[in-house]
Amino acid sequence: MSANKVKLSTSDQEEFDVDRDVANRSVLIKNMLEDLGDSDQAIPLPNVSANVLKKVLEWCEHHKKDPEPIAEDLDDNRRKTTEISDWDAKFIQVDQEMLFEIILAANYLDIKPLLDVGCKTVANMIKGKQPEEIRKLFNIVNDFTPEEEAQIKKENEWAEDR
Amino acid sequence: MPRRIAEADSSTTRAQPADAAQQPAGPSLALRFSDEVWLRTFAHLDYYALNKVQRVCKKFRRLVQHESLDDTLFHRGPVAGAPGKLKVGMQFALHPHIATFRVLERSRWLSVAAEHMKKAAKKGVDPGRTPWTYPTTREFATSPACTRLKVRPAPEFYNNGEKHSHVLINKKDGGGVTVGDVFTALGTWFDKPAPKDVLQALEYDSIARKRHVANDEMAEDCYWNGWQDPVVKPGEGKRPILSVYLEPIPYGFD
Repeated sequence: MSANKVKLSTSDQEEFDVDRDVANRSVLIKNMLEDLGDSDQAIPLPNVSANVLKKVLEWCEHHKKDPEPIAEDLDDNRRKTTEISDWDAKFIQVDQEMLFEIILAANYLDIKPLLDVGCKTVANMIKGKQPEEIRKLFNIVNDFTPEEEAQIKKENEWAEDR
Repeated sequence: MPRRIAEADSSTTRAQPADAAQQPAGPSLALRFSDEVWLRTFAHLDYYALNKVQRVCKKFRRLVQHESLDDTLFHRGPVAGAPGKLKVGMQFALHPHIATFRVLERSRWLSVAAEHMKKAAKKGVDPGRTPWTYPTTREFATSPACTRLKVRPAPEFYNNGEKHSHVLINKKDGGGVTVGDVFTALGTWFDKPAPKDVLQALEYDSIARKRHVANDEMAEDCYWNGWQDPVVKPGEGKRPILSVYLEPIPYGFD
């Protein structure tokens, strides 16, 4: 196997041959490669399925020439100010469960810029929604007692949008 | 939660058609987001959205208390002592409840309530349920919080020297100026006697001679047009002290 190619194996036992600079977008894979040295063995990714990895690699391919994200605290500032680029916005137009899959995969594979694209998208889904609508969106169970809920609502009377 | 991760593996292998995935049969994958992923998401939300989020469930309520969201929620304490000491021109974010507060319409209410609070404090009694009872009013007025805030509700032309023009909130204990402090200061300002030359200019002089005319009554002539972002300016007088100024948008601007 060429030194410029990496083999990745998904949870559903599919193998992907990937350019090394594409795979390196994932800090997890990058670190694994550095630890393993040159090896023909496929890197197992037990938390990622083939259809999600395909999508994630599509993102890595497009962003393979991006500069490395520097320190995490600088990353923090950028996170609050930058908008989603046109390409990323189009890329992330997927059904809801796929969006969540991409976020989980980006988190696991440690691809911060992709994780941020996903998080911004979810944040946009939350904006302007009432608590009940947010629960529906994520299938979250309301675990407050009626008393707690009444109290929180009272506290938040002034925190409502006008 | 190892059991849940096992579930994830089996569910991700199943290829889902797009329309079926819109209505997932099982629990949403979002339930498996780590705290860090949620915090990264919440970092993009504003004050109002975060207040809605904390009403969703116990987990979200806990996460919203995380210090990374303090700036957005006006929970970040004063900068004094920290590397970011006050510098002229430094800007602060203004609490949305001050920014959206209809000062002119509520000025009478503010000055009455401020008077009530003052009396209660003097007597050392509990003032009961007032606008200041809301937890929101204990949030900081600016982000980050400041310890000296000069509240100047009237635009420049109304000012008749320092005396009438502002109310200084000076937290000598080093605590931050809160939303409630600003409401109290606004009430105090509206209760102050209006400057004589303003009364004259607006032909209030004959009435003013007979009775007390407070800024409250004059407020509608102030052309109050919303607040500017709070900004650090040097103070007046012989020994100017840097303060944060809360001033209205000058007439003719928005």
